[in-house]
Amino acid sequence: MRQMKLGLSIANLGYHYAAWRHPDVPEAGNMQFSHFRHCAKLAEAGKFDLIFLADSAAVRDLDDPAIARDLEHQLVKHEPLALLAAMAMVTKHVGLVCTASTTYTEPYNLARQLTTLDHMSRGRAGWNMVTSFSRDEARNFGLEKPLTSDERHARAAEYVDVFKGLEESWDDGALVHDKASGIFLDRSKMHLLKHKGRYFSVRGPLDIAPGPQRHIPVFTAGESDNAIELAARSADVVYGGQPNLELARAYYTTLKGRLAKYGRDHDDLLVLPGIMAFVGRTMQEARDKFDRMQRLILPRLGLGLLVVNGFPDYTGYDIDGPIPDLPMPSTIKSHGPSPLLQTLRNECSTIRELYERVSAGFWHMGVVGTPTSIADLMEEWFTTGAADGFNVQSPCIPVDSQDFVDLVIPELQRRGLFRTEYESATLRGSLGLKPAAARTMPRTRAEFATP
Amino acid sequence: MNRRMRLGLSMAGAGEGATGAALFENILRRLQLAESAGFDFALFPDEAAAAVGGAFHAGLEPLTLLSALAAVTRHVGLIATASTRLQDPFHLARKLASIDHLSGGRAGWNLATAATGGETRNFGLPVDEPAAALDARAREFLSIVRRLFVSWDADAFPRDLASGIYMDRAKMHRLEHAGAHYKVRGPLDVAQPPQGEAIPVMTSATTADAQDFAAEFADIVHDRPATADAARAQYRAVKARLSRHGRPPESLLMMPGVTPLVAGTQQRADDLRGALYDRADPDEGPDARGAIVAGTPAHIADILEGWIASDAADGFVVLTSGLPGGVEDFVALVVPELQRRDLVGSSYEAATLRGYLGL
Repeated sequence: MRQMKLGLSIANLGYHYAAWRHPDVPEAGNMQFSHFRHCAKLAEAGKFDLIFLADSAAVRDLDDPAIARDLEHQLVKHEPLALLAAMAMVTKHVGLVCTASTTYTEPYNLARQLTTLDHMSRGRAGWNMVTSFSRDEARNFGLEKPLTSDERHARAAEYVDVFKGLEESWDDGALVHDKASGIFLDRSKMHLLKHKGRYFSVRGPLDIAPGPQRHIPVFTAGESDNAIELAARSADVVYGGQPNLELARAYYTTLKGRLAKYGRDHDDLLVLPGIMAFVGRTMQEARDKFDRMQRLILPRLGLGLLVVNGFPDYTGYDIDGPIPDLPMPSTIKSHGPSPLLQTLRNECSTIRELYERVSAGFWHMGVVGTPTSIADLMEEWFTTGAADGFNVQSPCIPVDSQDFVDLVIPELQRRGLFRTEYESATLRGSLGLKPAAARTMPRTRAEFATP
Repeated sequence: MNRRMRLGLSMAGAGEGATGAALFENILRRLQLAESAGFDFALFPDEAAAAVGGAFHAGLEPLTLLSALAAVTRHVGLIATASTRLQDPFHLARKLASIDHLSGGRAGWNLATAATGGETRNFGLPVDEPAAALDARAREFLSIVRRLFVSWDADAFPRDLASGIYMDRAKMHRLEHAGAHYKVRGPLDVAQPPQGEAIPVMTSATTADAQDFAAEFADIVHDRPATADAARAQYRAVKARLSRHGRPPESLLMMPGVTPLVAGTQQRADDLRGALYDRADPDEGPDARGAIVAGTPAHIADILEGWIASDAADGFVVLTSGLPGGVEDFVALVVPELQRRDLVGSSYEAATLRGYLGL
């Protein structure tokens, strides 16, 4: 029976805007390894396929007063690869997926770093490939503004080819290290990449032995045509961000439909939408949890998060009064403008109601429910062509992750929808991806417009 | 009271030819040995290229490696090699700051300024860049990294649950750096690391320009002079430059590499020395091993003590010989002798790498 794949997205203290104020959340945990050790062990206790660490190599622009109020508790954090390497030491089974930018890093550096993580974790490394659309990151790396989407994706396509090429530097058995004969390597099994492209010139070979997975699973995200094309061509897993079943099905169908173009099968790419769940043993308990967190959102944060999510700045208006009729700005999210914004605005009668709705899972599936109702929802998405699994985005970490593990996962297991034991030692194996033997990766041309 | 002798252990050769997870286990064992003996730090060398023409050793990337090792050790300092030619200052600052947080203040940076031939080919860089250009890049890079470390004051995050005040915006400092090689706006997205802007920096200083650089910026100089006289000359040259930058002599530690060959008798030690010469790799540079100190534990302690007393060194980075009588015997036999002479401590007496080094 087909089973769900589940990731635990550990966004420091949580996805809720007031997460750090929850009494059982360690308010300084974002810089404390003890917090992440606890979360990693929790993910493993829940039999999650993977831990996912998102990343942006910047602090959001605090000169913009609206953005300054957005998720303050995520402003400073650990560098994700360093943190995952440390988490590898306290776990045995769970995958460790690290976000890294194709725009601001070098493929030789990243291939070394992720292959090192793959070795140290014995085959549990994953790479979330991002192209970095934010201006704040651009300005930390010598640019005034981000590159265009076309340029970012053309660079990413070349980057991921170099990355995968470096993973093929050594055939199995190339590194003999036979002490008796004194033969360390079999040069006939070594491959120099000798890549010379538009963006990169990389000779190779990688100076690190092939990792246990040979090819580290590649994750990505995004709804633009460029992002979907890159995912269909080069990714193993897509992190989805659709707020409802209809949109999620459409996204799923589009992605899977584009695989054949690259000679790939339906199951070669997994789609895992985000889910933000407030879980209660009863519906009342779930609602109480939700309401308690909503009351902790300060109005100034609520106004900020509206701006961050593409709404106008309502600062200065009565938050319990009607929503002023201001023009909708062009959105700053990567997702592009969405009619959802207008629909949601029309459904709400006050500014406070609007920001509370937005905070509760607007750009992804947000749900307040019991283990049964949440499992029902997940099962529906999973069985009707909207998802191959989910990335769990706990509102407050670790408390809501703990509730998910204690309440929802047993219900999914009872239904046979999720594993009860790890069936593989590697992330690739847990995800059920085809084993990647040496030099078997398809070689396809990039399909992006040359900028 | 004796001058304190600082001790580092080079992790070169710690893998004993293994790759992958087995290599990691060998490195971890060596590191635990260093920690049990009270070494101030372990030094992780690096080259981002496979030396396929010579004695290729598949390695692990040091920054990722150190992040993991930070989680499984408690005291020993962790110094990663990273080249300012191959890294980006914002990324490196994040990684070092994170490692410093993860390790509770034990991170250090062995700053290389150049790229080797193999590295230039893996990064699409020009070969033979002039030393002056590499030096200028390194200066700018280092100044960016150090300022990024203190993007946030240590008390920038009041995290007041009742009022909902998470941060104090006035305690965030943006870099707005625009120089010849880099434009970096900042701030760093990592809270101020335990060692603040002063995460220790190690460099090589064999040329006059490199000595100027070290005297201005470095906390530790590590090279491999073959003799005490050569070490003394370098010691004088670097320390003499410190006053130009308003630094006292003790603000920089000279820590040459030495290869110990420990034996029960001097005769046996001299045999080991012969064996070491015999198996020398023809590609190996003349100063790959630093001074070879061969003898009984007491004799080796005499030599090392003599170097300290005669201003040839403030401490040593112990190198692996790959022969019997190497690092394991140094730890088992020489370190206790040094402790008995009160040259090294018997426990970690500070909270951070900077503290161990007396900086």
